[in-house]
Amino acid sequence: MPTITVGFVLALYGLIAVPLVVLLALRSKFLLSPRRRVMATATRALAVALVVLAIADLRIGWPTDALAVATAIDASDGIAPEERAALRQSMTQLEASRPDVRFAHAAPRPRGEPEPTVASALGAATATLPRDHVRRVIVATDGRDEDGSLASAVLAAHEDGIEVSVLPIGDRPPVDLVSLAAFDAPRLVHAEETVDVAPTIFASRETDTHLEAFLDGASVATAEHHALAGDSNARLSVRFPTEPGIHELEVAVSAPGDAVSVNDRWRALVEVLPKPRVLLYHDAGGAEPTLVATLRDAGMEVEVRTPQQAPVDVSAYDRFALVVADEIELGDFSDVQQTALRRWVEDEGGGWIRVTGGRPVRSTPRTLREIEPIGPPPAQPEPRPLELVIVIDRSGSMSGTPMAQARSAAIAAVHALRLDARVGVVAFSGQADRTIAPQPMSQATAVINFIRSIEADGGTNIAAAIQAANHIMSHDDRYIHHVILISDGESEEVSARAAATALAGRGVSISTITIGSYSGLLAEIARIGRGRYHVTASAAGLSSLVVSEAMARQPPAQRQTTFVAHEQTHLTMLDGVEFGGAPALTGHALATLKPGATQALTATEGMPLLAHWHRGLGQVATFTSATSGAWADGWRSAPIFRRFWTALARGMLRHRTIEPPRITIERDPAHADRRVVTIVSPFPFEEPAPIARIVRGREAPADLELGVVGPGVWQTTVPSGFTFLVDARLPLDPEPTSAAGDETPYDAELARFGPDHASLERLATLGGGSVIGSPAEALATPGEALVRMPMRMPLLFAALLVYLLSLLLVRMPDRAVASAAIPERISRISMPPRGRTSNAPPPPMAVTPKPSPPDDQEAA
Amino acid sequence: MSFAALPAALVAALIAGAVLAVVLLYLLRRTPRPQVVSNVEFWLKALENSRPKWLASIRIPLIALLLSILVAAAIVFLAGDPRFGAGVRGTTVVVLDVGRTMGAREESGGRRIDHAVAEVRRWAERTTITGEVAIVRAGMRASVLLPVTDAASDLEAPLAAITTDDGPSDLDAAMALADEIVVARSGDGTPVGQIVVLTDHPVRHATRTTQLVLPIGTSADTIGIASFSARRVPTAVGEYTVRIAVQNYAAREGHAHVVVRDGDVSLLDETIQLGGHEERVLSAEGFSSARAELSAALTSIGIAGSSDALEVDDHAYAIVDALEATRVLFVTDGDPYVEAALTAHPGLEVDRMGTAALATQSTASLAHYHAVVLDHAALPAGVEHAAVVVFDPIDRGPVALGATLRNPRVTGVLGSHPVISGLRFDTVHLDAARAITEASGDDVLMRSGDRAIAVARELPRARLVVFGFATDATDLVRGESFPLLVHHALAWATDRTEPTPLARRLGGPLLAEAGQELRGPDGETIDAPAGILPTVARAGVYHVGERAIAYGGTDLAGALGAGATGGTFMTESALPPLAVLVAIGLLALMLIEWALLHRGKLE
Repeated sequence: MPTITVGFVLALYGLIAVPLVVLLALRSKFLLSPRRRVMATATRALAVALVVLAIADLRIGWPTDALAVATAIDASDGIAPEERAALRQSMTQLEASRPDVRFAHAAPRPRGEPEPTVASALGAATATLPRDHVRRVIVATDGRDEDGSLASAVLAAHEDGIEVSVLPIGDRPPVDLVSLAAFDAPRLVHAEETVDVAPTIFASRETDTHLEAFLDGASVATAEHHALAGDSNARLSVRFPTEPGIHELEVAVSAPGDAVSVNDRWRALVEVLPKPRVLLYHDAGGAEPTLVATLRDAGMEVEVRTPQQAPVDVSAYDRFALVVADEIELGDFSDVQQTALRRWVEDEGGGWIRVTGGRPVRSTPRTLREIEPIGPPPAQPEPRPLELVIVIDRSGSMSGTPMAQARSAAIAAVHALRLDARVGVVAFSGQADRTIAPQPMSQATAVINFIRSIEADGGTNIAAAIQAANHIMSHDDRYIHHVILISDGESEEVSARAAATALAGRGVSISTITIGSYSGLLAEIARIGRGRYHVTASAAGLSSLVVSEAMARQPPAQRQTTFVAHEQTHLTMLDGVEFGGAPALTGHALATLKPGATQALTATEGMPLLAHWHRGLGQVATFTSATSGAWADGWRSAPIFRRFWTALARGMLRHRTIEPPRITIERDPAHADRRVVTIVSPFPFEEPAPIARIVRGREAPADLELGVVGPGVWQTTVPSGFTFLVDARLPLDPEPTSAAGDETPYDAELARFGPDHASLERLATLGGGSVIGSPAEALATPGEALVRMPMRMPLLFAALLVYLLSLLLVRMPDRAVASAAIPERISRISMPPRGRTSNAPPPPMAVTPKPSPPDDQEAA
Repeated sequence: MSFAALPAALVAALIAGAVLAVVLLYLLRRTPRPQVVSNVEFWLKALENSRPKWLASIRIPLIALLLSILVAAAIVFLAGDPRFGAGVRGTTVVVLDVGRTMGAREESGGRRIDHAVAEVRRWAERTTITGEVAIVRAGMRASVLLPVTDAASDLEAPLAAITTDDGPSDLDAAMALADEIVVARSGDGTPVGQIVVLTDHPVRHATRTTQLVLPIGTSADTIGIASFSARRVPTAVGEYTVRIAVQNYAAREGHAHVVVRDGDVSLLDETIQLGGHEERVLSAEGFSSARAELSAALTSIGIAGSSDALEVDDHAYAIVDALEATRVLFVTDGDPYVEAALTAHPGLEVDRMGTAALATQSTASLAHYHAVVLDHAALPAGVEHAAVVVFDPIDRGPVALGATLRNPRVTGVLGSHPVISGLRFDTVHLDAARAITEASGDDVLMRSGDRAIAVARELPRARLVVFGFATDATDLVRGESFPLLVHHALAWATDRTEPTPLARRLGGPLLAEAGQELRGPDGETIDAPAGILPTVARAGVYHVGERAIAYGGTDLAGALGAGATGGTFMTESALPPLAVLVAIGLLALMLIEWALLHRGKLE
């Protein structure tokens, strides 16, 4: 069924001229018979209409099944040249066998000139196939359309009325046997970390492959992998080096019979983070602790400082992952230093290991002691009675409430004593001028009265007081001898220490209590006297302290005995550390486990050797023996020392508490030569902005300029085609916390080869065709196209003829008009020259053969 | 001037023939000649002489003759398909850049693409006189706009429907395609023809065929949206924050009215002043748990002494995914603490079920839920779920259990694990807990001594978190960390990560699953034969089934260059094609002649 189309619809407005022609012919003054006038008008109108239709690009269409076929052959490297040649050969044969089909040929290309892409070839076929045929294109491809250009071209061709069928090629024969199709490389590793890398092997058939990993050009791992046809994942364990920075990791695959080698290697950049930094506190003057060398051997960077050099700002700890206090007195830290360290542990997730060595475990200084998993050892039940001397400072500064509270506390202590105890009192100021020797409890009233009589006055001489206590204390071995010293002031230190040492030398323990601020002297006296030191800001709590001291008998701070560490609770961080055959230790500090803490190792009598707990966001471990001293001589020479401390230190490293930024690297769909790097912060804010760097090849990292593109989202573009790595961190993090890399080791078409049948099906659907097994199948099914013939020239020549006919009708002698016109013309005889006048009277002899139309009368 | 349809000589001969025919027609004597008569004989003779005779007219109305000759000649002339200019031999492929910047409006008022299309017509007129023409559309993908033709009239339909892409043109691919077409038409591999490139960008692609580059466009000013995105605020459920950057790419100051909408709701409606080259960042807040389809538009743009030339950079789009409630099935016979923790989080949609009813559930029925929280219960045998959180596990549950621990202390926690990251358990007291037998790969979240009392397990397609204690046996539930613990456990188990909060870049494909409908920015259904739109070239919000995807071109915003060579548009003829002119003249002549004839002026 022919169809008519109009190309220039706007021109059809010209048909308005047709009724104009008719209108103009009405009331005509041109002398024509009516019949002739009608005919002339009709032909003139037809001529006008034909001209208009010719300008409007009128076309007549009719169906045809004449077939035109073009072939677009995938020229990518993933197709073997011999397969392409065979396909061309078969197309030639097909052409010879089907003379009824019009085949379009691609132009021959000069030698060495690259073949067009299959998308370009398809576009050329779309442009050149004759449109008066059923147009079909055979796209011979493996369907590996990385950038979507082929799919777009197929869809465009189909939308232009071309049927696109797909002929799978790429496996007759496969261009290659194996390739390293993808490489899932770690981008951020720690020094000396062993990480599994997972290359994806693509094989055109099942085969055995050999994998080898290189780090900076040196072979570091090999593996054998049985590759299945298609993708399969292999695994290689790679130990990364100690040196921080960028390293090049390369994986190579090989298989017997592999033809193409360019796709067998993949290089990627990996960033090795610096070693974890450890800050180790140790007393000045001695040799470098053994622990330092051990931790360095474990891949850590150790910085040794004295407690006095400890930071006072928590941010100064940011660069460290672990702090070790190795056999130091915690009191050597100032309050500010202690607070900084504690905040770092509790709020920033820091790890803190304390080695007590021979230092006694006390409850002070509170700031650090509170976060330790151990406390002072419990008071030992003592069968012997107590001989207690209470030494009370009655200097002038104690006057008022402190003095009254001191008296009350001392009296309460007397009341709390057992009946077999003895109690004495020394009241001192500038000298120890008031004393009462220890009395049995039957004389307690006298002692209490003595206490009540103490008044504040004068200076402070602690040495004299201790000497007085030493003087009145008996030497009776049936008693335990203990002194409680209560004071609010400072005194001359040297003599006081000497007096305390002398008293302690007798086996007398001394506990001290300061009313007010911390006193170094009283703390020292308590340490010398193996007693406890208490500070009370107000005198209100004094009574309970004095009573508890009166009731307690301080055990020894340490136990020097040979023992074997016993694992009581296994810590995951100590996996692989066997304590079974470990050498013995020869001493440990006495301590108790705090509630909630884990006793990992036990020393003697169930006392903790290694205690651990989480404190805030961090963790704390205390080792109650030694690392440097004689107690650990056996350990240091055995492998257990290195294993234990390495495992413990690694397990105690600070872990992240902030989610790292996400880095994605994507191909820019509009620019194949660019990669889009996007960094998404965990927070939807522009501050803090991540700090990002880019490393190209093995160059030094360079800052990556990022543009804010959203709330907490930054982006930039990077040229592709070379290996690069991007790392990022939030400003709070000292090291990069995330990284991503990109590389194009070879042409993507060689990554996977052979037909991708899912993609081929999709392409065929897009093209309105089907997946065919041979080119002949594309010619088998009939089709129908519309041939559109332009009618411009026939219409115009028809218009010319009709116009001439119109002229003929106008100009041809009209006998009817002629016979009627003669008499009319007679009237003009008397009126030369020739002309017409509307006033002329009608001719008297007019003979009218037949009546003229009214509109003709005027003209006549 | 040339003739496309006929040789000029033939046209001349045809015109001569037509003229001759007309003259002959005019020689017809159609009316009697006036004569003076004196008698009957003379009358008879005169009557005889005055009868019409063929080709005997001696008084031809010259004006009428001239008009008729002109009409006839014009028809023949028109049949010859007259064109301005000389013809071009061979195949001419016109590469028409329809990239984003071709939509820029010139000072003359028209857009660059309009000028280019006019030039394409002109070139098609010329090239089809003696050769053939094809048009390659250089959009984000190169495609054939008009296959090879020798009829200039074939251009009209494709050119009438031409639109610019919102993304950059792939000029290199278009040039390669044009080159391929010319070479293919040349037969022997030697290109016969030329490539005419109409673009506002430099052309750097070398071709075997001769190139003729016609630069389009002059430098122009624009104010555009440089970035636009939105993101949910993780700390405020339902809230999202919108960021828009408006950049003045002109050297002179300007202003624009910025409107950001979430559907019909206006989130930002503000007029901003911008200095030369200034960028202004604005933000807005929105609140909706449903999906937000955001659009940003610049209106009332003014630039001092200039105007905003580009419209495509005045619009941007973004999507904030629905705060899809994490659907949780809470299986319990009464646990006020977990229920309170689940209820406290507005991002959770909790269904409650008794433990007895769980036995009737299947894997398919549980798949509706993102997570299942089991309180002293276990999934029936054979029933699986990808995210399970268990409190107070029972023996036939997913983990092997050991002895019951009395008053266990939490002696170790895996603080680095997301489930308990940032939470403190220093003072937690437990009355009792079941020891959990660790499996290989388990992360022990909480440990009491050497016994695990809470573990996180990652399986190939499932995640499991087990707390070995009942909520009524611990004071953990009374602390403020418990709701966080529950939320963290659900977040880790369901493994739902935030999508990248940016519109997709133009140029990529859009894929639909089987049975999903693809709809374009205006809600129109896109015919995607294989469920794929290979190249998205228009910015806007697309819908794939129920999913919305924003495509934007804010990354392409920038100053408008001056074209390939910095020159102005080459030529622009105000005249329509010659054939149209001739046709109009012809029709006019025909009507004039006809009118004069019937008014008696030509006799």
